[in-house]
Amino acid sequence: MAATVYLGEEVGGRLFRYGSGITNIGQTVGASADYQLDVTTWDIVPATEVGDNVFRSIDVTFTCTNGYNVGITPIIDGVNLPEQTFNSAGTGEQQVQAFIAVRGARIAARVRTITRSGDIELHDITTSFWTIRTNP
Amino acid sequence: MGFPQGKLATLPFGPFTKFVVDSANSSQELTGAVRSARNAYLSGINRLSIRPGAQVAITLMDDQGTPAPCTSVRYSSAFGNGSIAIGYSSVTQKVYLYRLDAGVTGYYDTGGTFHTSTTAVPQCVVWSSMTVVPDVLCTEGLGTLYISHTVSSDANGLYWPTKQYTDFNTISNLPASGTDGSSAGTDTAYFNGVIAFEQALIGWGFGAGTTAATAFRPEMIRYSPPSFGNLQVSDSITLGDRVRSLAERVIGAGVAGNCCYFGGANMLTRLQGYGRDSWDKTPIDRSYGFSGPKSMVTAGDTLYYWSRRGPMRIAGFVGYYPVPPEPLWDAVALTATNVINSSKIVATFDADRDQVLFMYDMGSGVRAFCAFDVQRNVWLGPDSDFGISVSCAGIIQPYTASTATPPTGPAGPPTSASTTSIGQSTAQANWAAGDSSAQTEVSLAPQSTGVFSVIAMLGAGVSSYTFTSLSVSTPYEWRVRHVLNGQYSSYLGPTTPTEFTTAASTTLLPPSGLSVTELTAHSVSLNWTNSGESGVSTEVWQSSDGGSTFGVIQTVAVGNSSTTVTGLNNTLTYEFEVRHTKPGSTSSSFAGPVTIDMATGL
Repeated sequence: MAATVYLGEEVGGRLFRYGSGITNIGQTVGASADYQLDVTTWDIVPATEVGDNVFRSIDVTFTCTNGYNVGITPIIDGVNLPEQTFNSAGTGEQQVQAFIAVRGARIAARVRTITRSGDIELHDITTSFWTIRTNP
Repeated sequence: MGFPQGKLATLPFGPFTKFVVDSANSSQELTGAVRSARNAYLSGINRLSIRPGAQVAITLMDDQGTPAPCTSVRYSSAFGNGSIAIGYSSVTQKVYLYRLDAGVTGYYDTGGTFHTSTTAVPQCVVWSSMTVVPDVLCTEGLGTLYISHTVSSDANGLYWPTKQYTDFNTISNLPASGTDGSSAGTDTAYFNGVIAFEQALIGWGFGAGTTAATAFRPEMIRYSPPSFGNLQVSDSITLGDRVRSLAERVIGAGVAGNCCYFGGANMLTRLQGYGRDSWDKTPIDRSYGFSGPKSMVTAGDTLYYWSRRGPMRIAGFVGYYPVPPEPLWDAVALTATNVINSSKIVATFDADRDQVLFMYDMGSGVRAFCAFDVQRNVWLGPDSDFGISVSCAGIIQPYTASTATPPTGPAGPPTSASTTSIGQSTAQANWAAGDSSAQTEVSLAPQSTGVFSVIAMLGAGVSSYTFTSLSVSTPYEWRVRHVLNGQYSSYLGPTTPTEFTTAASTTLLPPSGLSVTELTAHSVSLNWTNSGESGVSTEVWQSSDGGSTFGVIQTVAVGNSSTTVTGLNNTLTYEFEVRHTKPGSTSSSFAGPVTIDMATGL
């Protein structure tokens, strides 16, 4: 059995066992009381800073232990597009694609879990695109 | 928009393991794919896992008639083969110590009996009449828990004595030696913090005695000799370079590798060594120290800590010349800037996920924290949704080694001593076996010295032993104990029944009926009748000058009553006589003489 971190609360008599549950037992911040994974990538610039692309999709692979409910937010040239959500039951390796059709030079993505019924392990985030113009 | 004419391509945002995360500093381009990762830890190459949450392990209760939960948890750590927690109740104004198991599934009562429960009953009260929530620092040394209050004393008074607690014994004040630094004194130690390092108990901010203004030295670090002997008031180390300055007040300490680091608000000092003859103090940093008493944690051989600038780390194994601390704040610069109440930062290490966690306040009323992956040198977070305000963190590792079974010792000591057959040189010790399967060790001592010597180790079931070669008229005492599987029972004796005095010296009875017969021209045969006393041998004396002078020519062994004398001259006349002898007794008178003429055989 590995070493366990125990946390004592500032206001109250409870001692918490860290790293052994799903629920955020303290104050609820945001929409969920559970711990939610929230990852934002750095921009990638496929055709240089002044090039032009048509971004087609953001592809996310992960494993889940008890279904998933994830949201993908494409960020084109620093502008957030509407978040696309995906959910399903099941376990194991999963792939979801958020399709877009937007021209731009830079793309990033925010991937997050919205609700949580099990654990999520994020494996990869990729984008597919057509390059229209590269400069130089 | 027309359909693009180019070839469809793909690019990954990863791998994640290259990233440096700083969600508060999004304008800064950093190498890697992920700009921020919240509630995550790196679970493999290019893999990010969602962080598990926390569960309520136990609730600390106060000691009211109807117990209520403590209002604050102040300390948690491993102790012995379990753990301890310290809680504070603003209702009872007491600080409580709790003994818990390693899995924090219940508590031990004052008698040491374990109770599985989701609520814990105090083991004892550490301090009473406390109106302000205390910060508590503890350390364990050689099985004793030392508990200190971070504001135990100041220039105006001595308030909260440092306590010591051993398994299920009464908690007590930690005594210090007198101000001359000699052996134990009557003063009580008032430390602002304690830490065990290299077999010594080290405390800082020491106060003692009754004169707070002179005893209180916030920059002083005091220590015990190795093995946690009396704390020496006069033996001390200062944190910095100056003699006395509140700016050099010690805030906290942490051990990494073979170094103990002491920090003030703006300085860091390294201590190495094994005691007063070898302590080596080296000021390391005069800009950044510890932000709070719980702002540091050891991961591997490295000490991670939060300074007034932000997170830093320093190696624990270094040579004579110190290696300067390494700033870690540059990747989370804006996060570090936004932290408030940095004196309350709590640092801990999640060994399962290789993360150093810093829990801090960003002004929202909810503690946030960020994590540093010590294997991959990347930051994760900060997370603002931890949801609870954390006051302390402890790493508790259950013992997984099987418990060694001690060998079985004797069932009991020997009993019912008696001493019989006491002679001039012998005596017999008797006892009843307390364990018939155990060996018995027999020891004997002259009563004049009381110094016992082990005389014999007897086999199982033997319950008597005869001492021999004793001195006459001498007081002796004996004792016995059983031995089984290398374990000893208590002794039987010395008591009155195991004490005895050997008999006084006596004169032996003489042999009788001495006769002589010629065997050859040069030898004769002597015969006699022994006296019958036990253990007597017989001396044969001879004269060839008509009985004027006799000399001993043989000593015949015990029990024999005849002997042959050879080498005689066939022209001389010889006279023989015999007597009994025995060690410790006076020899008998002679029997004889008898005469024989070797020329005639008559």
